[in-house]
Amino acid sequence: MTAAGPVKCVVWDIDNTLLTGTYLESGDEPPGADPVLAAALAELGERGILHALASKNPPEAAAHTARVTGWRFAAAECGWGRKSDALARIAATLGIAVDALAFVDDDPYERAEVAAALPGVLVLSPEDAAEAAGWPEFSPPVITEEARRRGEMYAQRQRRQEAGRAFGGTREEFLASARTQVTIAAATAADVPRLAELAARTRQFNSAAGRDVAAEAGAAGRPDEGMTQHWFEGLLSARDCDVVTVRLQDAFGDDGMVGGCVITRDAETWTVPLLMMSCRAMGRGVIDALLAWLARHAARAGASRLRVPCETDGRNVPLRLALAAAGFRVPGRLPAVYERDLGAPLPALPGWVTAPGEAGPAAVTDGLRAFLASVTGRDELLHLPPGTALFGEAVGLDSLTGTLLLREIQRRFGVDVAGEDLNLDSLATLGTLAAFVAQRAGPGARP
Amino acid sequence: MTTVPPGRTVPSGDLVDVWWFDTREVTVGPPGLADLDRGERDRAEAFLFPADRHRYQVAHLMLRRVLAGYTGTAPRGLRLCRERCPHCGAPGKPVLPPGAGTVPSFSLTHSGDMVAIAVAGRPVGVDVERDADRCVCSLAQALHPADAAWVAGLGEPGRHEAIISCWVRAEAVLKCTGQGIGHGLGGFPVGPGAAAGPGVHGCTVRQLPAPEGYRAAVALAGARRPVPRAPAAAPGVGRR
Repeated sequence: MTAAGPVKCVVWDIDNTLLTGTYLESGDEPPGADPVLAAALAELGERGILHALASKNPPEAAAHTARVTGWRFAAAECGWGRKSDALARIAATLGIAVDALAFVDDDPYERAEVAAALPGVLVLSPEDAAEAAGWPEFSPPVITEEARRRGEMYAQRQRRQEAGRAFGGTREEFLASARTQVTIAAATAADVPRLAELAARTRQFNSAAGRDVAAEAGAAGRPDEGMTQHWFEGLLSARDCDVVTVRLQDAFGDDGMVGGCVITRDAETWTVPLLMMSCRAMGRGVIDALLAWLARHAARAGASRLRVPCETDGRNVPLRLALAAAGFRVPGRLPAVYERDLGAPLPALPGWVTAPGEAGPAAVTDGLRAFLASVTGRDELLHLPPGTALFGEAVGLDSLTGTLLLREIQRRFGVDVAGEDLNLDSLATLGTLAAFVAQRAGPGARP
Repeated sequence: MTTVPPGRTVPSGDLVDVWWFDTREVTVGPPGLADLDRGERDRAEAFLFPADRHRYQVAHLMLRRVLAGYTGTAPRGLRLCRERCPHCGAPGKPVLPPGAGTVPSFSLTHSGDMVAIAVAGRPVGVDVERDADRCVCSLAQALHPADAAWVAGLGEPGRHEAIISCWVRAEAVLKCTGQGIGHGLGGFPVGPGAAAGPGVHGCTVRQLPAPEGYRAAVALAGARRPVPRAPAAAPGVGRR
């Protein structure tokens, strides 16, 4: 009973598992945490693995367990129903596949019930779980900043979902009101660990299932190497090949890099051998923005056709739906290649997307406004006139905010304003700053 | 508003008075505005948004009232001038011109809704910033390498707090020396160890108790740690 892929979330029983006794039978003094399993919680959490609770107890037991273990659980299901149902609800809440769960329970009946109902779940006894840190299912090949912050991001996700449910307008209006910012950029060496992690972890939005992508796209790769860090590093220096990253943030938090793709360029036809996105970014306009930008970018370069090979797989339905919605079709039967004709009217890109080739001064201006509004929490900054003296007497930016803005410009556009404009003339107004950034980040200036 | 609040003596030795104002609690009317000088009124007019203008007016009005209490000069009679930046000579830190008696040194800072004014007998600098409600790790590159290395070893969100703490200490030091922040604030370390001992850029800097959600630091010229005197009551005029 082993899971095929890496475990993203461990669902823990409470009584006689995380606690050293039974919560309801302990009277005034509920039992404390099992020290061995509490240490395993912390060790796995450091690697970006989430923790959740499934217990036949009242909800207070979950709060008590969180207190004594010192852990903030990403989800908790307390009730007297079947544990397999609880696991399915936890997977839905967290937006991950059931097969990415592990389940730890001291009760052999509960383990058998979950194993029978959900064969993809890795089912463990507490004794097994104590040693799980050494198992490959719990050992992601790379641990990135995004991984360390994963628990925090799921908490932001819950706040975002609550706000979304309370919001009256359309999804697009909600994304704009949440100050969503999608940033598409050429990958750098620093992005490689996270790219390899996305390649290993994503399933629902990953075009690689059933294919040897490294062999298709990697003149630089070794045979059978797979999509390793080494392979991505090779692609960065390969000719006629681009590696692209997608970052996402909004008023609820910064999700960091949530997606990426590899592009191989031919004069007439551009191919995307790898397209991937974290399911955490689902429903937030990211995959639509990436597909729209790919079509616009390829068309601008003179290509007439955009291809995305993507085999049919039980897990990648969301990606195939997104491809269909973006105007891609499969002309033949096998192998499955989604194609889009670039002669047709090109898709529009929302104003909150920043991407290479889209960075006209107006788009940069919008991006800087959105960042300032997000940093300061002041929506009126979304409407700053281009003539505004940012560092002067108009908006009273303090030095810390000004420094954050310049760092963000460096991160997002690859332009070091203070280093490249020694007289700092570009800082005169919002408009001069945007024009300087757009000129330095424009076509030919690869970040 | 021409009345002068009851006199306060200028803090001596290592004592510093720190005055806090919440700009949401202060209303500014025509009498208050009349206390500002022409430069301050022009500057207030230049703000695009009412909230920025209000914060500026409150900060400068309260600065005049606080200084009036130490000097015995009416708020509108105070003349403020600018010292030159010791690094480049450009007009920089606002000061009171030398005069009879002990002329207080002061420093003004604001962030979010809060304004802080520090007053001492020798050059003083104060800085306040809002706590980070987002990732501010990119600011670590602006800090001294020793401080950047220290914060890099911390986990989040403690790292964000440490970055803001270093930032307010460094900015307080620069405001004390009068060197413009445009020259960078990473020229000297202010992290643990550095800030505890004497002599950060000729100053001694310490963390200051700040309202919830804010971080602040005060720096005093010389080798002795600044000691905040008992909290000063705000000159309670024009309050809602």
